[in-house]
Amino acid sequence: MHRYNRGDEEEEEKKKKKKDESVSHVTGSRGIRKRKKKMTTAALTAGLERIPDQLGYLVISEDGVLASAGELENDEHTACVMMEMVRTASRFRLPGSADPPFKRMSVILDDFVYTVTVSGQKVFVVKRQNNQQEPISI
Amino acid sequence: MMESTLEQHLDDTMKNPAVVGVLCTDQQGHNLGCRGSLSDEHGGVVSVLAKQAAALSRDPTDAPTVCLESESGNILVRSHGTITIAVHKIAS
Amino acid sequence: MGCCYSSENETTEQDPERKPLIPHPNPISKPPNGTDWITTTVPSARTDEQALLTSILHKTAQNIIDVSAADSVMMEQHEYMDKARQYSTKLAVLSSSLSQKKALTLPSLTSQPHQVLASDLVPYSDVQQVSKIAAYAYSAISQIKVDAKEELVVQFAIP
Repeated sequence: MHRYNRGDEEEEEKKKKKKDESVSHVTGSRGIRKRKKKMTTAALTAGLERIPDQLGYLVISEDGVLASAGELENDEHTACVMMEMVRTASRFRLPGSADPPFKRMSVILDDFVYTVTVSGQKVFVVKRQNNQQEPISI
Repeated sequence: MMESTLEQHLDDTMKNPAVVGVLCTDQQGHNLGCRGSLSDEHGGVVSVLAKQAAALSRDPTDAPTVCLESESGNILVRSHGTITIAVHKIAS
Repeated sequence: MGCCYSSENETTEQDPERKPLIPHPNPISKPPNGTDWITTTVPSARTDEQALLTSILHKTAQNIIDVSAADSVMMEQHEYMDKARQYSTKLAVLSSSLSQKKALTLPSLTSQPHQVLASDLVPYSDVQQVSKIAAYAYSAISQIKVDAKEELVVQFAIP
């Protein structure tokens, strides 16, 4: 219960922020469609927050960071590197296939893992705790 | 003679039944040796990916491993010193 | 350049990435490797000894790069500045079309990003395995050393 309440509060705040940002877009006949799209982004970030062991996340488009939270809040550096890595990795092809041979890219470090994917021209980055590492035996 | 040490190592790596490809490249993407599904053309992407990932670690002793994942298998990329290795493993 | 992302432009023989931005002003100038002074073969009627000598000279010449002739291509400062300007205007034109191309390169990897990101992490044993393979490969490579037995640049005493 407690988790959901907190989540809803944060969600409300984000929606307010998004509305303010999108005021300039909501004009003319395309206004409704634009607003709908924004709602979808909010639903997706809500989903990211429920990922087990997540420490933070980023949603990035060609134009820049759309959403960020936790340890990745306003982390422009990580956003830039991830964007570059997605571009590099998406050029990878295996023989006999026209598509990139992966659904997710992970960058694994000692204490945490960045999991990255692309959907609808947006790059999603979630920083997750890496707790599967066993103690080093020498 | 020394070159065959790497060649031997690549052959040994391919003996693992889950491994279907392996590639070794230098920092410039020059291919130092490869087997199976990974070939010459992958050297550039692999070395650039490893270099870019290094910018995500603040601790130089904590080298990142990059993994491109799908249901059918994973391609793992890891640097050590001046070389980068890519291993293509299929799901067992 | 060959191995980086080469798959897309293999079909065209005239690789635009290798074409100089500014055409060479003097394309007939030869590389300074000194092979031309020996290829002038002398008329027939040769003894075996002379033929042998010629072939030895020829082989030697092929193995020599005349480093003293390498810096013969001098450039005036204004010429240099001119070239730099030409290059930057050419590059500005090319890069504007390049950024437009770049904007289209985000692939769609999944329609369910949230599910994909939440699924299990890569097994730690796989990460350990690849890090071991990399360490072994590095130690195999670092044993390769250049064993220089002769001087690379030799002075010729001209009689």
